[in-house]
Amino acid sequence: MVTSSSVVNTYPLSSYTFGTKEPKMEKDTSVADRLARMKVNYMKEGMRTSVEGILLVQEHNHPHILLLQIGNTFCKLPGGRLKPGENEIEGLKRKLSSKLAANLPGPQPDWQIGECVATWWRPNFETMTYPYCPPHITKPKECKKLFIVHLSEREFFAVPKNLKLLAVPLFELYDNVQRYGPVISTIPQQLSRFQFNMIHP
Amino acid sequence: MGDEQLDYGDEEYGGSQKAQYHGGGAISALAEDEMINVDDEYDDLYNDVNVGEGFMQMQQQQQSEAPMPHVGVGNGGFQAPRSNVPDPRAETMAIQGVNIPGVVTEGKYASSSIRFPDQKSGLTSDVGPPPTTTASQKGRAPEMVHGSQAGNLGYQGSLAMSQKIGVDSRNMSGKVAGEPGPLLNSFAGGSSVIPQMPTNHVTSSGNVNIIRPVVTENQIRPVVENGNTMLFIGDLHWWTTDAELESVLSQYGKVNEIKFFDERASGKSKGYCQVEFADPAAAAACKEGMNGHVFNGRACVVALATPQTIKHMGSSYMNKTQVQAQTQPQGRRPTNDGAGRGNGTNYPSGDAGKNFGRGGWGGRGGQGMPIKGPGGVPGRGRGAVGAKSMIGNALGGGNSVSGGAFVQGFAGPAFGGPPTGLMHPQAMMGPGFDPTYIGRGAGYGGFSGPAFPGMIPPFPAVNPMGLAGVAPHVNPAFFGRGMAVNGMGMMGTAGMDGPHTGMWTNTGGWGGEEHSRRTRESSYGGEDNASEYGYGEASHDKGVRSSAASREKERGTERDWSGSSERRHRDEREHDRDRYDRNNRHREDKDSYREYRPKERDPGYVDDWDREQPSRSRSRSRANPEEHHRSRSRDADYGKRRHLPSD
Repeated sequence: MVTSSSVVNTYPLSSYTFGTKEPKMEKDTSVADRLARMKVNYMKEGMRTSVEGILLVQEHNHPHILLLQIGNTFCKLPGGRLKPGENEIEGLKRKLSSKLAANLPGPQPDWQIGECVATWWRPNFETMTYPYCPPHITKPKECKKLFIVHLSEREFFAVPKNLKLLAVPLFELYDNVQRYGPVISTIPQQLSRFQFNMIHP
Repeated sequence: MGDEQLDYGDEEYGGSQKAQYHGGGAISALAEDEMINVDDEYDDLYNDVNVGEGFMQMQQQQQSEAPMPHVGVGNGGFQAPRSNVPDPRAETMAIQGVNIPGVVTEGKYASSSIRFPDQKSGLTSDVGPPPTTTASQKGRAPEMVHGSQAGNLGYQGSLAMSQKIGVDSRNMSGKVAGEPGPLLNSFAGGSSVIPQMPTNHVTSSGNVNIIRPVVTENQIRPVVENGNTMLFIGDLHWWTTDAELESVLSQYGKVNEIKFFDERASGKSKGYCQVEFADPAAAAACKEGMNGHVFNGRACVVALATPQTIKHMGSSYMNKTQVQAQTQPQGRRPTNDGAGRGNGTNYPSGDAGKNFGRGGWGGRGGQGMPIKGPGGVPGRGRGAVGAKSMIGNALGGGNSVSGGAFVQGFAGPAFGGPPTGLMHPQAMMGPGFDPTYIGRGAGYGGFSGPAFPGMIPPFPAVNPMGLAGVAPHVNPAFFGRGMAVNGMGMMGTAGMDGPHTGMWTNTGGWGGEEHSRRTRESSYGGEDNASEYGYGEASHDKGVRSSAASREKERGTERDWSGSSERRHRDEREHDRDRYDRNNRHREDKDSYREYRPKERDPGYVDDWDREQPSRSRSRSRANPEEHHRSRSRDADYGKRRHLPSD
């Protein structure tokens, strides 16, 4: 189901419906906790592979990315850690549903996962990630992959109560490392090679 | 002689002691000792025959004057300021000291240990090398042994030397009835090292010599079991991987963790890492066995870690991360000087920072991690002073100073604040710590330069990109061309060392204009080719002053900016640089550059230049309406070019 095309159809935000669902708490209460947990998992399972999805909508003829905001400042892409041995695409679908799909029994949204547009590596149990694996590191601790997700015209998203779903324009992310971090703030560059089809209602 | 000593060592050490002992024969001994110390700095051979005499007194002096924070048992093995092992060490030493012919040191140890407090905790349990050295020395003539020993002793207490000394002192103490103290004292504060000898000397010079080496050996061995499982391994290539390291390390024992220190901004390795073994014996074995091991064609340096250095490395790492992020564009140097660190020691920091700059440390450095020497802040490229440490190794033979020795010295407070993480690694990494490096009586270790060889890559070193990262407008390819390029790139970053900066500061005459022009280009041209562009431009327009002048006027604001940054750089750099020389250098670079292309005025040249950088020329043409002042051919080409890119 990986569509490899350089054209991305984007629909206006209004064509989507947003609901809520029960809160989805972060597993770690602090960065230290998170790193510690990462360490434990690394010992058990080896390098962690994370996948995240870039969901695009358009407003005013400009692509916007859907970000989940935790608290008031921290934004992250929907996604998460893969289970050991899990396929990347399948894992991403699982995570997207877990984060954004309604918990109701019924068909889960049919996520159209596009190509991988970025890979970030974490060489140590620290918060730093780089778009390459540093040459002196043979055992990176985490590999994070960003995929484009092609949304269909109608979707229903159920957002956990403790999170906010924002549609952030690309120009807001561009060159804004302080606010969004190196991974998200460089998404506009990763997407620059795509041609966006702004579909109006 | 006295004067020298005073200058060299601690004032308190030299001066007060001198005064006190002025009465007796010890004075002369003292003087000699101090002299020896001074010599130690410069000469490898120490004639410490006379050293012993004054030591005892000096020791006592020291004790009273400068109570040491830790009570080291002369083992030299002590870890940083902690006197964690003094007692056990003393005992072991006592046992081992017996080897010395005729030396009954056991009894003395107890008293010796008392002395140790004088010594700074600079000594690390770096016993490895000394033992071997002493063993070999045993067979040699006493004088020889002395020499080597003395040499070690002579060095700042912080160095491994001190460790050795401590050992010796113990032996000595045995010999000298009731005078174990002096020997120990020698550990403390580098300068006092030698005094120990004199004590023995008095009693039995012949024996003293012999004993020393022996003692050292014995004493060193027990030190190994001080529980230190951490090592610092440095002077690695940035592409030397953790897997390579691990495969070698595992030969020495189980490795708990290997932690590389890398530049936060880029993830690139700084060239050193911290290794934790499961048990101290493995760590010691590794330190001895792996020091100098060649990784990818480069010999590494292994040093034992001390709690302080570990803490500093860690903290500097954190600091670096934060500090660098903010200060990066401003040039690492200021940051490195411990701005973010909060280290108390100014002295080392300053040195570190300074050294780094000279070393052409250009790397990002800023990040708080100065740890290695890069002056803490120095961006990625920390100059590698390292050579010295290597030398030190050879020199010391037995001086396994590494680590602890490094700073402790007598400057108690100084140690407290290693300017940046960097400082520590340096100290640690330079097992061979060249005495000259230590500087005079600088307990801190007087880094004259980045101790850690690996830390500071040579200017043209691997990190050209590091700089580029900071100064996006500089074309990385430009760096390969020579100084000029760097100068330009450096504009925004303080990382570059003085000479390069000098390029910028050319304000007058031919050089100046070109420089400024270049500056302008870089700022104007944006990320790419700025330097190249400017470079070609400069050479190209060498004769065309008018256009340059007009262009300069146009870009008045930019120029001011670059000018100010130039000025800033100039201020930061060594002022004594001869600008003219720099100009010349620049010119030479330009000449060489020019060789790649046809003569500047030739149409061919213009064509090449234009062709290669059509975008630039286009932008330039826009900005420089007076370009038509140039030769016709150029204009023609220029005009043509102008049209082409716009298609």
